[in-house]
Amino acid sequence: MQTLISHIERCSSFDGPGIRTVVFFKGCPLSCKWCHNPECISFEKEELFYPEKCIKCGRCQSGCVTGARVVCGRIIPVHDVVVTVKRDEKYYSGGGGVTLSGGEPLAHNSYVNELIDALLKENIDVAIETSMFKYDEEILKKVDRIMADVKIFDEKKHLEYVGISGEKIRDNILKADLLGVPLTIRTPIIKGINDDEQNVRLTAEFASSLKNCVRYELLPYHAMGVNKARALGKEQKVFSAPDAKTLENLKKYQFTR
Amino acid sequence: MKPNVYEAEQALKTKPIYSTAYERVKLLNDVMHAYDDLPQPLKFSRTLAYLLENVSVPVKEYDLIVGRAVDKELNAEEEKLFQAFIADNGNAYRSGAFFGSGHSSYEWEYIVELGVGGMKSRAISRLSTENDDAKRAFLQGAVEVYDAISSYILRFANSAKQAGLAAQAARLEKVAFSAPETFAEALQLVWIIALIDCAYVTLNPTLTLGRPDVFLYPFYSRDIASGRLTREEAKELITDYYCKHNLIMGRGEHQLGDDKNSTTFDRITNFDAPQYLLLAGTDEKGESAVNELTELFAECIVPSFKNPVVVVRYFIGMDKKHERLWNILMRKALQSSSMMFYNDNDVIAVLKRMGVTEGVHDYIHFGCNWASTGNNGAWMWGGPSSFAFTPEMSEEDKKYLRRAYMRYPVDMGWEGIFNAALYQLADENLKSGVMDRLFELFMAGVKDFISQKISYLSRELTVRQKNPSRLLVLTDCFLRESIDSAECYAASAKYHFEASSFQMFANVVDSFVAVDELVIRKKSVTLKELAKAVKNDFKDNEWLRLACKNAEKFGSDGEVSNAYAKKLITAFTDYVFEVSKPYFEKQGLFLMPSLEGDTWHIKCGRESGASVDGRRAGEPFAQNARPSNGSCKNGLTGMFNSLLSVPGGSVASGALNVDVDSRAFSGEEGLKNFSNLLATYFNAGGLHAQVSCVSRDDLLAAQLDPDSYRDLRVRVTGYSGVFVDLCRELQDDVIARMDP
Repeated sequence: MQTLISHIERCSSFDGPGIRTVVFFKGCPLSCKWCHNPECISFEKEELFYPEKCIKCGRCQSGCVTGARVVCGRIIPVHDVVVTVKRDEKYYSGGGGVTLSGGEPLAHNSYVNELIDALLKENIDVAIETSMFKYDEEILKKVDRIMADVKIFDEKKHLEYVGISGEKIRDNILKADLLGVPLTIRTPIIKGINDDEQNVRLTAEFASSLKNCVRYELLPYHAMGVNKARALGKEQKVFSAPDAKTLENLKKYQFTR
Repeated sequence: MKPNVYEAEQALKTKPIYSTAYERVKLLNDVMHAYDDLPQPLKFSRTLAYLLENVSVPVKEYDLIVGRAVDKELNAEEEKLFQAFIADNGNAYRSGAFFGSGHSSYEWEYIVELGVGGMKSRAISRLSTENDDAKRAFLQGAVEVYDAISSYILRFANSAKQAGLAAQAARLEKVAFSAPETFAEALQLVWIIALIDCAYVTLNPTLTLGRPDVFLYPFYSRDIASGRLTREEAKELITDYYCKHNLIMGRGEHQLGDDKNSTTFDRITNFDAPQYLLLAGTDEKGESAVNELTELFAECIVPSFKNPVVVVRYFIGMDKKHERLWNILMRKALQSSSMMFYNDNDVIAVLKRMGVTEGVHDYIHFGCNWASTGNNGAWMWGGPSSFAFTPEMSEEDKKYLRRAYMRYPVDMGWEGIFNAALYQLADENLKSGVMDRLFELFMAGVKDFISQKISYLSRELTVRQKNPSRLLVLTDCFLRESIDSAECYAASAKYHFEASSFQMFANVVDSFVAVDELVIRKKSVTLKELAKAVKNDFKDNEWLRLACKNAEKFGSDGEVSNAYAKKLITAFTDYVFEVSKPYFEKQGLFLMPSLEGDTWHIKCGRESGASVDGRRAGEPFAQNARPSNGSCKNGLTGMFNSLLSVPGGSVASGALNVDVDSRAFSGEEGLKNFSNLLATYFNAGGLHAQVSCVSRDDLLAAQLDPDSYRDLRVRVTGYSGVFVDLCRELQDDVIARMDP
């Protein structure tokens, strides 16, 4: 299987400390029902189709220029990714760097391993955003920081909404905690699904018990994935963000240390 | 909220759109023809004296800095008089009693060092040695202006006394004649002089206030050392001073608005044009000029204010050298405060390259983002024209000088030069070397325009210099050199300049890239087909328009667009320097290379056909130095990198609107990220940035419900706008800036 990259986003201030370049890998073994990057679930090249932009020019074969057909998934040599990353190198000085995201970067371990080595050789800070569906010590011990979601504490609910075991994810996080790499634990908050105080409290307690967890944060749901799913010919259920009052109350569980 | 801040905010939000400085109109009407037989300097001084002797001098109980002007809505009879006044060719502005002295800076160090009385003594002393009638009238006029100012200040002193403001009254009595000794006195004097210019004398003044952190520092440090002033008291004075600048504002947008949605300069001379207040920067040794007062002026910035525009003169390494100041400034920037940043290193390099030797470190920015050499420089378009200096000029001069050679419409539409080059090239049927030939044809058009422009400017200056003492403007009263020479600065300043802007820079770069990509590399279309489509506004060829639109764009940090940007700006600035050189040596006249288009990108866009970058006929062009809307696909860093392909020290001005989603840089971490981002850009040689931190959603909501969003401020070009007071086209353009 060749590693496909969905896209590379520059100047992100949401995916780790400082100004970061985020590499989105295509392919993820999870199937979160609210996924905000549904184009990064399949490991295959896909086309997103936005009919409202189509002018019916009949030139689809020579490459769409209207933005109606967007191909997602490119093979990009490691060297080329590094070149793109380095274009913003001067802005990383305030703690920024690269974040490997997706999709699931750990599902592309061979490529990701090589990319991390190349980035570290350039003294670029590397963070990984992973579901921790698996424990890949070789990769995890090399990165500068790990960001992992604990989405739902209840196992049954986790299986229902995420598609795999939440307990396994927490086990993997516990193992990763022994590596001495700073960890950030995050919970996407979806109204009526996991915005109950018990879920957040248990997750916060779990995060707090980790020796290397430097931060626990809540990420309110947004419907960014809905349009993209539709463009892929799939339907994604529209969820809701938590009420402002609920979120405000839950925020007391966030911490930075 | 303190009452002075509340009052200023309310004025910005609720001042009636037809508010008028009626007293000014009425009083000027009284003396419209009273001094017609006098030379202009005396006509000016006596008209001003009458005005200042009779306008109201109101004081509020919470005024720390005294000095207000009155405006109001007019009844039918008053409106009739107002309309008659502005229509009359004999009114103070049309008859030449008052000439715009705007878009200039005064010699503020000189003002606070000598005071009004000291400046008057200097003029009297100069008058005693002068025999030339014109020069004597010039100097006599200046003396009368100082007298008028003294009387005006004393009238305010009386008002302050009556209001029980003893300390304020004492300060006013002091500075009515004597040089200020304290920080409060100096700031008071600065305000009164700014008030006279901005509220009474100049239509569209955009006065520059120099660097008050530098010229007021001796007063501040003395007061602090003697225990006469505390830091907090100084802050209260500065805040009140900022409040005063906002009270003299009108409503609307002066370039695209009209008298239906704007106060207009006729009603309120200052209207929406701000004063520019510079902070920080370097001194003549190239060392940091930052002091404790710089921080105070920064701390006092009220984000909801429009005025003054604080121009921070950044210099490489300032973020680390003055970390606390930089943090204060970044906090203010992220609140969409009325401020901007210019890079000393770039601006000074341009001036030095031109050959400017005096006062390079005292450069200023004014108007809508033009750089000036400062006190010793006159902007050619500001001040009186050659016709005012020499009405009896030759027919040949008249023929040339009646041309609108400096700005619109001739100075607009470089995309038009590009299209002309494209059409010619399409007919040449070249087999190779297409891009080189396109560049050659384009630059030929550019050079032709620039060389004509400076030759006309030279002619203009020559005509002005035939009678340099014929006119006196307010600026002259505050420039040592004008009094010494008894000549108007617009004729006799050491340096004369005009902005020479690469208009629609991003559109031109994008058009080169589109031809390169679609005609040469991808061969998706022939040059003839492209030229034909552009001529026809892409009619029946939407595919090609979108192909052009989606080609690589300046602002995305693409290698091809960056390379064209560098090549074009280098060729342009090299020529500007080269063509200016003989004029500079002969007359001190030069063109200031810039990337400035103000808000003309909309007006000019309206009147222009389609362009090769996929822009339809009538749509706005890119604004100032900014990439076209929707081009910054790689975020702020991509945009900054594209801008950095413009070599440092090549242009002296060019606004870059940095539109930031507040969610991206919230909290302390967001502040740190933003500070680092902006400092990195400037330390790498970035020229300019001004920040609007609003969300696109809020702007869209504001269009639907303006009254609920009167607090929204956005950076426009040189100035800040109350978003809902901007005309719809400009509002739409600001929203489009926020597209990725």
